[in-house]
Amino acid sequence: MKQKQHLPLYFDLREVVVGRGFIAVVRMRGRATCVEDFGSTWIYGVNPGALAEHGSDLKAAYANFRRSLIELLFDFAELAADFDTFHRAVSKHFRATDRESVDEWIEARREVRRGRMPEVDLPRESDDLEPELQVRDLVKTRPSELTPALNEQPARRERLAA
Amino acid sequence: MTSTGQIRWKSSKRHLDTLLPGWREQETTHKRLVFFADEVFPLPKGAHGRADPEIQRGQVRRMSRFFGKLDEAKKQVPRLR
Repeated sequence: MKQKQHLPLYFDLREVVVGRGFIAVVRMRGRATCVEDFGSTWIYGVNPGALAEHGSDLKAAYANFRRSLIELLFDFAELAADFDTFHRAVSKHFRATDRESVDEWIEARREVRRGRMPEVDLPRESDDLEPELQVRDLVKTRPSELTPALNEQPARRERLAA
Repeated sequence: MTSTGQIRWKSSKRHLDTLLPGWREQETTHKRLVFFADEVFPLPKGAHGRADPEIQRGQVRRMSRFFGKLDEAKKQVPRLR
């Protein structure tokens, strides 16, 4: 049986989330795997591991994955009584994954580095990057630290780990 | 199972009762959150007003794997393979 091709992805996200008494800026660099499954293109989260979305192609699947992740951040804010609770929920969700998904992502990147990959319209990221998450409450931020730099969007969004 | 290969939520719940004892769900504005063993997996709520929405197989399979129950889930729902 032909092995399914998995694409190892990095993605960046920056989102402002308003909750009870807080305004959080969430920045993350996560990992995900793209694979053809059940007749469509799926993006399966690795960090965070608990997220799966699909679409007609990679672009559509990633757009749905991104939208779904932002909606989830909004829902965590809905459930949280304060910033600390929100921060804990987002951090826990971001870290939670399973060994099989991590190994699948590492093996997929190994295959890409061996030159075994289909043509995909994605920039490549050849550095070994660790997943990263920052959650900051603007309400508790000193006025002198409130600068337009906080509006900065990630330079790149999804890219192929190569 | 629906004709399109999706899985009805009510059917999924029956499987979850067996696979994830003590699991619970919570609906939020955008998601249906499945809680088990101090972890949470978000599923779509489905179309507004649907009592028994359809869940994509990819999401059910991924959730099963996330909770460490994929092999058992495949036995219960062969189309997850």
